[in-house]
Amino acid sequence: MNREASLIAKKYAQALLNLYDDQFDLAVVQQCRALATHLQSHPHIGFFLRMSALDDTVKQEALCTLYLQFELPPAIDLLIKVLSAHKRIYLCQDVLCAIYEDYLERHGILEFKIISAHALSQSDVQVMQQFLAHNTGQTIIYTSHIDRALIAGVRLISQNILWQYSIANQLRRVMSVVAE
Amino acid sequence: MILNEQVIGSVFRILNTAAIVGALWYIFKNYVLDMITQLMRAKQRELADLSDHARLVTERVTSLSAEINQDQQFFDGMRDRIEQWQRVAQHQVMHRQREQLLREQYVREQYVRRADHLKSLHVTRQVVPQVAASMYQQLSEVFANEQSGKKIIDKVVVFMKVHRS
Repeated sequence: MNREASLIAKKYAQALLNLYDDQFDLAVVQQCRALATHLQSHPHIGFFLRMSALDDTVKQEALCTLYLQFELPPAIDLLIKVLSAHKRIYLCQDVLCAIYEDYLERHGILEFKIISAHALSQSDVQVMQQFLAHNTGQTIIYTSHIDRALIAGVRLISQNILWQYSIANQLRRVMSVVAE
Repeated sequence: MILNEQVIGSVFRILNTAAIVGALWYIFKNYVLDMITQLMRAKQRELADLSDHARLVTERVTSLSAEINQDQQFFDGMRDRIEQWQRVAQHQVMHRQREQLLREQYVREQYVRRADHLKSLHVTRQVVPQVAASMYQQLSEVFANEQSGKKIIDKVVVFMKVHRS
């Protein structure tokens, strides 16, 4: 995604959220991102969306089918029509991502990946969530992952923030000091 | 008669003597005196020549003395310049030797630094990754079971509990 396309997509997302904020909540925007991820994982869809020989109606119908499958609000249908009218339907994936990011930003929500070497209990995850919320001043949503490469410990990572206490990281730091 | 003869003899002796004296005077005046005068003049000229010669010699001696002084000054100057040149040459030789020593020292230090760098590079490129891989393997084994991992998680959780409020 180039910078210009990203800016345009962000403007569409902001406009949509300004007009239809009541149709969106966290679950909906997560579905938006799921659809964007789906589009990203199926690059041939993007290829057909960019194909000028293909009629816009066909593209709209295909996207509408997808938006129904992901149970998205009617505002997304409207977005598809507007993008189609503006000959920018290929931006659909970028706009859906931008909707997710803009919604989180508007509502002071930070998404973190909690990566640990061993399985975490629910109480541990809650403590981490509270710790992050306290230190960032924002609401924290998270996804948990297991990564044995950490050896032991956790890594909390968002788009802009990284907090880490892991044996692998300690080992890496020790080795970098030794190498110097 | 005898008396007359004696007088006549005396007169003739006087006359002879006078004639001899006159002849001698004449000879002296006309020949010897001129000769003596000429000799004196010649001697005077010779004396004047000698005097001139002496003056010339004196001038020559003075000139030679001046030349000798000039030459002495020139050679003194040359000697000073040669000494100065020797000093400069010695200084340059010492300078070159010092520079050579410095260059050799620099090259030795460069070799030492290069060797240190290569050692460090060897450690960085080969030893450290091997040690890191070995430690990674050992630590992975140490923390393979849930209990060891849980200890670290508990430590993190305790830290977060302290810093969450």
